Amino acid sequence: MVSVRLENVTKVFGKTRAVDNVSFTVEDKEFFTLLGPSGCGKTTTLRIIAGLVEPDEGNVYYGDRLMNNVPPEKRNVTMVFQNFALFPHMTVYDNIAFGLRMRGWSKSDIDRRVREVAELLRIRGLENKYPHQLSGGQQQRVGLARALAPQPEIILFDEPLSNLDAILREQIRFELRDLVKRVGITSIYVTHDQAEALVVSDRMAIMRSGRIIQMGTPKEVYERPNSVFVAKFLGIATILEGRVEEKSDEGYRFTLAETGHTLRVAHSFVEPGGRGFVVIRPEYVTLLRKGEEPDENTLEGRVAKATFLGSTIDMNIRIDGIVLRTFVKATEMEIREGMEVRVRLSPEKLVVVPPED
Amino acid sequence: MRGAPLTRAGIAILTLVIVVFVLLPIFTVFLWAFSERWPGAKLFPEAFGLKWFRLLIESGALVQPLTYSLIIAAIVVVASALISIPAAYVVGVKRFRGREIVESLALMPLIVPPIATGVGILGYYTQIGFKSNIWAVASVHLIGAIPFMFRSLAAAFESVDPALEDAARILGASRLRVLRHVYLPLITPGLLAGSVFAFAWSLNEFLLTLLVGLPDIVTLPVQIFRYVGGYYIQVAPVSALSVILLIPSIIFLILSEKYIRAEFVPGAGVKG
Amino acid sequence: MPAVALKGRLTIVLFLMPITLFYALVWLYPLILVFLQSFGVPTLSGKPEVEGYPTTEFYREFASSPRYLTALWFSFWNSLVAVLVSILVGYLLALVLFLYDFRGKRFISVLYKLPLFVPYLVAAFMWWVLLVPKGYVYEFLKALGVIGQGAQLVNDPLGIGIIVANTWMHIPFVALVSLGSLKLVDPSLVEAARVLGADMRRVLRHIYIPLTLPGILASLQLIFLSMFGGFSVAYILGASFPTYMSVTIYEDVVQRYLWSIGSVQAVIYLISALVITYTYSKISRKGLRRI
Repeated sequence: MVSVRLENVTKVFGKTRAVDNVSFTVEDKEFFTLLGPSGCGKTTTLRIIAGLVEPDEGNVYYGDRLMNNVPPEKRNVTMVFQNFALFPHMTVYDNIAFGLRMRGWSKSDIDRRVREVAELLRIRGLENKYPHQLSGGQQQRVGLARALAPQPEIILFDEPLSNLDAILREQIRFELRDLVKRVGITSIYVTHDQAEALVVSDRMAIMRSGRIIQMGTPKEVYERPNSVFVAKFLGIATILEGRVEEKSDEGYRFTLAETGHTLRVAHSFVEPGGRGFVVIRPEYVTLLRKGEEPDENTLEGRVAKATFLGSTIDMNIRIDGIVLRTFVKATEMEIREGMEVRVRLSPEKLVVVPPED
Repeated sequence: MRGAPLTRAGIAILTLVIVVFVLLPIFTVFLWAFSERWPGAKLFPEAFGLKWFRLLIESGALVQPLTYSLIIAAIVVVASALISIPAAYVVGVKRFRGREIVESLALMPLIVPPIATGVGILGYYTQIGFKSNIWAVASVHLIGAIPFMFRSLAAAFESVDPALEDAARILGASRLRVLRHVYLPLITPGLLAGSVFAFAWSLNEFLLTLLVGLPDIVTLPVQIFRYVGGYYIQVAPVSALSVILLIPSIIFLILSEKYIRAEFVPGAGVKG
Repeated sequence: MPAVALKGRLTIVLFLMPITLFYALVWLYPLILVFLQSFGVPTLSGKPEVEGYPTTEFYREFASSPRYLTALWFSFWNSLVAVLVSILVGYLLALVLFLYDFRGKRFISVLYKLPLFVPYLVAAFMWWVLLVPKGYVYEFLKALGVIGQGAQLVNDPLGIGIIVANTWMHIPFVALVSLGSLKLVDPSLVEAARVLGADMRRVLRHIYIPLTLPGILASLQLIFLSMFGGFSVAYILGASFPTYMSVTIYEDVVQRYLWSIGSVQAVIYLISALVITYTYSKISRKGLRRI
């Protein structure tokens, strides 16, 4: 199998730099995700890797092979498409066999391989149907089967789940990752859905306006975003302005501009003396029970709004001039609006990011 | 596109062939029309001028037919729109049983050879004495013009979001006011496309015009036919007439390029 | 709500009335008269052309005369050839315009449509000028040795001139329809085929052609019919015999006042057009069903 490396890849469409000096390496058999809002250049990047779009600048390597001038049909890469892109005039069998026929496999080999892949994806029995006779989930599986059949070195996913309904989407996510891991193929996955990206990826890159803003494992990126953009994009967060005061062994001290409270923060992308924003994920805010001792990261406030969500309660807590969003387990304690509460913000889970420019 | 099967040279040759094939007839007719003197053995005319156009105007072979052609075409556009709009509305908007039948029936006039209808109309109009006037000619032009108008309009009506009608009705608009204030502005592109095709059809229609128009109503195509239908074809004056008929063809082309979306283009070329 | 349903149906009938009335009066009624006349009933001719009508005498005349049967056959095969040539060239042209970027493409993609609005009569005349001896095309082909001394390209027994002019007239429409349908092919299907290992030649063979050709053929039905039933091109570029049935009808009715035999031809011509329509849509639907 093979790794994929992009070196300073740039693609310009008209006046927009769709992909702007992008570099990254995807290791052999790694599941790598490009995450970003629509129009951020993630799909163009994927198509450059496939060879469907030629980069204006920069190089694409598979392993050590420079691929820039290799047409897509000569690369051992396949792709799963957003709309599945099943050939409507071919049966499921012919769809899956297409890549094998193009590679000149013998009839009996094709037969065997199609059966194998159909078994793997649990779509045996659909071979003679046409795509329009299948459900969305089945079409998705056929698309995946077609991409896996030729035993590619690399498989690319272009928002493959976005055309499915929410329940199916959640189901297939896990299955998809398991499958690719089991077969052992280098996978590059494009999506705008942060939850999906967090679930499937070994590592991920967040893109915006053609550039990669942050790269890392899902946990790293979620817990330690390097910008307001990434923090907001990856989930709900309370983001508060302030100043980084000083650095010590335990981290930084951060003063909230609105209230003057000082918090201890473990990580900061802003040097002491600089202004920035602290990112507070709601699930890392804990309520202090009666009798528990406050520490320096404990704030006092009042419940401004509490919404029952079933297993959790989504709360807005007003602390002087600021509003903090938190989730608490519904079983944990009785919550009433207007009630006074104390919250503790764990320093290891706090990060300060620079202001947007 | 990368890896495509034709070479640059292949494309160049193909392009050249297409250009020559499309342009040569038109080019030649222009040569003839503007030739002042063209001895038989020469490849090109020796002198150019407006001799043939002058001749056409002086002999009365141009102005009167052109006037008739334009008046009749205008009548055909208006009448075909008036006849087609109600039908196109129900076919485009309403879901009813037999809708497909109506749609395919509307194509029948383009399927039946015009000469077959022509024989009947010739006899019928002769017996009721409805011949040799512009209304008779306009009526036979409508046979072919309406299908184009109808299809353009039906496509336009179909492309209007039906929720708009519901919204307007809920806001208190009567059915007629819905037609006027909601649909009419939205079907303008279709109406325009239909008008271009109806106008072009009328201007170019020849066979039925010949049958019911003569002796008094001579349109441009009939005039051309009078020159070319006999045993001896006078190339130069017919070329001049053809050039005049080509001008609206080119205008229609430009109009359809600019204003007509492909889905409104309703059928084959204009016959006659 | 039967009242509402009734009102709705009434509206539909009312709205369909103008177009129905028009065609009943100006189109269907004359055709009925033609049908009656074909049995000798003097609906068109005024005075009877035969004693004792209705009669099938004129149908028998039609069946026993080589003039009419030949004309019908000639109309069919000649227009079929023209249709096939138009489709072949028009589709090729569309493929080139669709797949390639080259200098002058914008110019070409407007230019090729030029014949679209040219009247048949004018087109026929223009090709007559080119194809008669001393015409540019005739002389060019003679110089190349493609045609010999005394060859005929117009008013010839094979109807070469008719095919050329009809082709010239219809290629733009074929190309226009083809281009439209090529553009509708989902680009991700092409990309899917590419990453699965198909080069452009195979994409053409496995994706573009099977996905577009059946639909294109279906929408070109009218072209065939307009050639089959057309008059001007055949009249001007055709030989005096064999020629299209539209021409023989014209000669019989307009020049020789033979109403009944003319009507028989008209009826059979019409039925043939319907049969062609039916067969054509049968065949093209078979191709479409798989998509």
